[in-house]
Amino acid sequence: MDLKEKVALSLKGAVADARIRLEDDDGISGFVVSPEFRGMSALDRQMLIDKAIRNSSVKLSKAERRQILGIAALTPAEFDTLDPR
Amino acid sequence: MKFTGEEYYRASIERMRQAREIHDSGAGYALAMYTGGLAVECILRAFRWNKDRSFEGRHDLKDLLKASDLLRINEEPSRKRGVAENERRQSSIALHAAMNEVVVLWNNNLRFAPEASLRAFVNSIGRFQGVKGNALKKNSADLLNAAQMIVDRGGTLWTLKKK
Repeated sequence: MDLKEKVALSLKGAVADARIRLEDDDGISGFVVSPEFRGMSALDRQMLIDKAIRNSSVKLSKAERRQILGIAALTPAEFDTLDPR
Repeated sequence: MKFTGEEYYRASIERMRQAREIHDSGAGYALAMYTGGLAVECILRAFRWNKDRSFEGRHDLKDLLKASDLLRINEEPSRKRGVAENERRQSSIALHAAMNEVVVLWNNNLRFAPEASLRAFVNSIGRFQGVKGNALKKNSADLLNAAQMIVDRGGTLWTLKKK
């Protein structure tokens, strides 16, 4: 299992109804989209992601965690307003 | 026009100051928010330029996010200063939260948005809920505060790199 898959699995296990879009380009970045984030502050969202990665059943080493650049946590409405890719 | 990393860094500071001035004047929150996001883009470009001087990136914060090393928190200086691991972790989470806020609230098309369109956008993502008073002003402040944290972090790292 590569790092991107490990991170995706970690997030799926912690975030309900999650749609996950990650890229590995010299580091992991991307989005996790879920209605669970509605009404949640940005700080609480990132704490949830941090906890999901640290407490995952799929263990990530410190070196692997350092490869995670940034994962934005968005509601479906917020994701829909992003610039089209 | 082509710019060096140092010029991008200086522009990030200028744009942040200009964003604050526009916000405080109440002249237009769409422009204040756009300019705040520009400040973030500038500091990310400064670091991206260091890696690849041929970089001709688009105005896309998501692309710049993955292209920059800004969010790779260099823990060595903090660790050497005796900063506890939990404090370093909280600092990292706060920075990622700031980036999250910019991703949610900033859009390259804000430069074209009349205030009414900004209002519709902010409302569509549920950011009016629970806000008392001027909701546009509140959301503009949220974005600028998040942008400030990123620009400040970038400025600290940039200054350390020069030493």
